[in-house]
Amino acid sequence: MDEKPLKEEIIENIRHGSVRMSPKWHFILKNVLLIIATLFVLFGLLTLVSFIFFAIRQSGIGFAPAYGSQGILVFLKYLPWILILVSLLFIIVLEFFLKQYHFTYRKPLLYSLLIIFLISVVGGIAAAPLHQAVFSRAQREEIPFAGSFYRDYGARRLDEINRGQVTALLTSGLSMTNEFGENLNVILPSQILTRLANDFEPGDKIIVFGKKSSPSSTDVWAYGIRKIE
Amino acid sequence: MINTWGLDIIKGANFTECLKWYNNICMDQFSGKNDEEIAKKVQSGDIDAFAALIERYEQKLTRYARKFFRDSDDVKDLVQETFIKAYSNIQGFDAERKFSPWIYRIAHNEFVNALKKKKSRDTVSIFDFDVFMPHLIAKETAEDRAKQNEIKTALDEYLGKIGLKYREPLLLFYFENLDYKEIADVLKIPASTVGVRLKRGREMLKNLIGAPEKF
Repeated sequence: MDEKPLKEEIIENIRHGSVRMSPKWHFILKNVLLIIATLFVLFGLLTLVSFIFFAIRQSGIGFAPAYGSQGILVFLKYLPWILILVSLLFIIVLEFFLKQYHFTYRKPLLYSLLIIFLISVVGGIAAAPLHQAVFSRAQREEIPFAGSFYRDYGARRLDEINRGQVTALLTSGLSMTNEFGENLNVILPSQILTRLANDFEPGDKIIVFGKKSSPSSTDVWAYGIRKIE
Repeated sequence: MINTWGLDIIKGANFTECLKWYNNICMDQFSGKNDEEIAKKVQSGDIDAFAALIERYEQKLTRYARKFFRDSDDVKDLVQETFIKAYSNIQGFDAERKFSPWIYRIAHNEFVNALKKKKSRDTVSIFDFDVFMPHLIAKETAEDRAKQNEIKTALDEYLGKIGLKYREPLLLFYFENLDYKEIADVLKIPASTVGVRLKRGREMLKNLIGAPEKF
């Protein structure tokens, strides 16, 4: 039996209605949804990254690398890794959405990833202060849902970082009250002690890097100290 | 005098000849138009315009499919499926862009899916380092163009020995005459990666043939 030419077979199927053309709105809707999804993920990414910068700033771990290898280890230990991993996931999803556009897939993946990374870092730094206001409201328990999230990250109790106010200068260091209301006796190394009276006075807000001698002790053996705003 | 040559044919011809005659008349109206103009007509509901597109691409897509599949039934089915998908999705085609990369993209997806179904080893990996890193675009030289026929002959002979990753850009470039950007649109990879794959594909051919001076 003679086989029908391909063209005739397809055209016949189209004329009989067994092959239908999807309507234009279907593609418009698809594109609109893609744009909305892309913007949604971008907004989520910026929110997350700006929160990471806020959490780093709020906890004081951003100052830690200035105190050598010990400080760098503390910085790495207390980075909000879960949030960072979720942000990376957002970057991958955003890259996937952007890859649908020719202006993205025609260029190497590295370029689009770098652009997304830069936008999220710059946008994140710029938007980080916005979280301060939310955090203040969360502390007053005015935010029902994200409140505990803000309190957990904004006022984290970290073993090696103490934030608070100087109460007195001592011969071995200083005494302070931390943000949880504990009185701590900070023992400072000699190189800091020599300039203690010049740099600090009671009432100063400070951040101290160092471990307590034991979990129940109030003595903190500090390797770094600095004033904060 | 009124031209009645068409009617004369109808009087003495059978149905198939009539259909051929009708087809020729239909296709004539698209002869001066480019693919994008015809695609626009299809978008506005002109089925004959789609027949013209099939006419233009049937041979090309069949040739392209034959480089992936040996079974002629497979080839016919996949080409048919490509045209059906193209018709169903024609409203999604942006007539400001070129039509050929668009339809080759549909064909590429069809072929890759069919290869996956057949559990062929001949598939493309999800992540490729070539796509990640920037490369300088290796432009085609006049010498390359002069050796095009030799490359095509070698490609036909050693096609099965070249992986899909390098085979597809070579086929699209040498047999389907698509440029780097168009191949980038078909494979959804950077244009610079197309250049790298073409260069490596040519090198593979050289090694297979054992005569580097030919390329």
